[in-house]
Amino acid sequence: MKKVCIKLVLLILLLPLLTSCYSQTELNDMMIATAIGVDKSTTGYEVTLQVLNPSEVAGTSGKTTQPGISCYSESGETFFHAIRRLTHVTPRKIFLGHIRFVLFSEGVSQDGIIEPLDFLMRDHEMRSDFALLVSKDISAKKVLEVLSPIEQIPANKIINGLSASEDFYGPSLEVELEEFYQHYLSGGIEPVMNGITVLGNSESGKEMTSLEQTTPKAVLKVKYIALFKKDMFIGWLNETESLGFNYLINEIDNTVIVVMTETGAYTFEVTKAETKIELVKPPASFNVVTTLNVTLGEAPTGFVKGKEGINQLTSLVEAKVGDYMSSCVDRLQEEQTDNVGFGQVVNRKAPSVWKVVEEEWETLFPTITVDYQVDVEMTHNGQLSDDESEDEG
Amino acid sequence: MKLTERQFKCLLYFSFLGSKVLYFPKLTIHYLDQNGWIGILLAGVLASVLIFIIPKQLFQLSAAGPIIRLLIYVVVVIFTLLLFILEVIILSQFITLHYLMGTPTRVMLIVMLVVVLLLSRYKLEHVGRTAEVLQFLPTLSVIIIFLMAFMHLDFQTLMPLYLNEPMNLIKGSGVFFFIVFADGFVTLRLGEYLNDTSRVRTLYLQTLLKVLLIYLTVTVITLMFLGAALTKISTYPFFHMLMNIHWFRIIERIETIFSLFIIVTSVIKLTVFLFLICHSHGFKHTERFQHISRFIVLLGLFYLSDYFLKPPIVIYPWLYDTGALIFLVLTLVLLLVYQLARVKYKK
Repeated sequence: MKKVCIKLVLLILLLPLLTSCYSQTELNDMMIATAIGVDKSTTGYEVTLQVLNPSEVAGTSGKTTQPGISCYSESGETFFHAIRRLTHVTPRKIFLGHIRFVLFSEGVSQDGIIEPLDFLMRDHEMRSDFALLVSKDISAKKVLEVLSPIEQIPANKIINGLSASEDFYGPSLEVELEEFYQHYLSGGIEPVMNGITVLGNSESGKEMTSLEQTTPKAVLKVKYIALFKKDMFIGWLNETESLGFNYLINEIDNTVIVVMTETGAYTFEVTKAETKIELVKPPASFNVVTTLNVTLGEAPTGFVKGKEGINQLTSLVEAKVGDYMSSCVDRLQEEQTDNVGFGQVVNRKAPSVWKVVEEEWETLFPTITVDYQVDVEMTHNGQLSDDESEDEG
Repeated sequence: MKLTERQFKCLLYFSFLGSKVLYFPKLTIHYLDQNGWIGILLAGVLASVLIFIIPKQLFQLSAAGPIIRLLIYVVVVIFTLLLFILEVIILSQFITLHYLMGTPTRVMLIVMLVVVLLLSRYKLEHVGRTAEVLQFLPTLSVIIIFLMAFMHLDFQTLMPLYLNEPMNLIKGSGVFFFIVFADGFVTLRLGEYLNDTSRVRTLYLQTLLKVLLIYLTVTVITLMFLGAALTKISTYPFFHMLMNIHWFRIIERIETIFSLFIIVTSVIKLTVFLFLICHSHGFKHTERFQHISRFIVLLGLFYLSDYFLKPPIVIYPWLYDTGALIFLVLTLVLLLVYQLARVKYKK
């Protein structure tokens, strides 16, 4: 009995040790960052943090008219240095574990972003499951300062918008740190990121009055894909090229295609897209095979001319998707950068050839020939099934 | 002191695992690039074959003479000391980096050794029983991780690449064998505590198959998820991969389950190793003497671990070159010394 009592007392005495580790930081003492912006500064980097204003975004009581986020900027010789120098201006310790994205300005991206990326990969506090973005025609700081209606945290608005654009239209691509770094390190493929910009007046967009109108003074807009060679930004793809890029890398989940006929424009919804890149003749001849399932979304006359009409329409869709992809590949060849990963296909299918051409792939890539084979199957026609041929028959 | 077959298998299973899972994918990439997973298979085959050259008499060493027993004991102790130090250093570094940043690794070393000292106060069958209860943890963790990672995997990365130096495959497989399966050869000494020692080989092979599947899964998933280049530069590639798995917005922090698996297996493994160092000589001592000897051994291990404590960036290159060579020599010596038991029996 005595032993049991002693053990019980010991167990009770141990309870305070279970509260947490000694180096803990209370929630009230930390500031949760949701996004990081990186711009160039005279000394090196200017880092902007978008941090949460917890009293405005959590719970229902205690809300004021303040925005849901605040932004703090500081510059430093390196990215990490700038992050630590932010403690001069922030009221609390910064916690980077909930970052949704890191935004680089075009200027920083053109010089190479491996230094900030190295910190982001190396730091123990960070998970690498956040997106990387490039700001188009505007500094990263200005993008982070813009407030968004409906969604109180602009970082969430950007990521949700990016996902929606990627899932339901197609020319955008959410690239996480892990993926970017993989492509940066691997041979035969170069990395990409998605772009973002601000429509309207970014200065007015950071004021709460901007949100009190039906049309905000500034809107965050998800742009298209930014091409990188190693860690350096080299150019933008346009909408068509971005769509082609996502077809090529098999990232199209759902999108729409408009084809023009004599009777007007038909709109198809792509419900399934699969692309395979085949190596025809190593190392420079490829065949891209794409299979699509589409449903008719909108017809100009309300009718489709039977089987013949469907065949005619599907062949137009096939040609259009082929054009998307070829325009993308042409652009990449023009930039001499293989962001799709044709080199990786050579590496996997003909490793012995790859060993020979690996070093000169950059100069060889613009000379590769790519054939496109697109097979479209119309799987549904929506809730209307009137067929003009039935009327004729 | 007796172990059931199940307990023996669990202790063997835990000794094969431990913190090696943290860096093993990196090791395979270092030697064999994307072909690393083939090397693991070959290493497993080698480990399965080698069990048949270990004499059955090893598990009834009490019949052997004191000199042979002492010799086997000395080699086992040297090997186990090295494995213990490597294990405790890597585990302490992992915990301080990911969970207790700011805590000196030396403090973590002390904590680990104190935990092992406390556990070692219990008899081996109690440790075996604990391992029996917790044996589901590594298996279940890897199954959950596999299911969660499945949708993110790129199977293309598994295609064996052109081997411009086929010797690398042989060398790599050899290194994997010495680094992964050598622990099992040391722990085999526990076979002496089984009722039916003739079953040791069968139990070893059953465990080996399970371990092979775990290492293969861990390496293949990491390779498919991170790719060869990123796996190579990550300090803890499998953990790094887990931080990036999303699964319908549930179990977002899957890496914590994995960390639990690592800590539990490592602590039990260290306890088994301490037992091998302090008690596998077979000589009888009082319980008080055993406590004191364990304390002194752990004190010595603390100083040794502290002496060899270096950042992972130094440890891994050492492991690739010198460490692998030391493991090779020690494994060969161990296998040779084990043969002495056979000679004695024949006489």
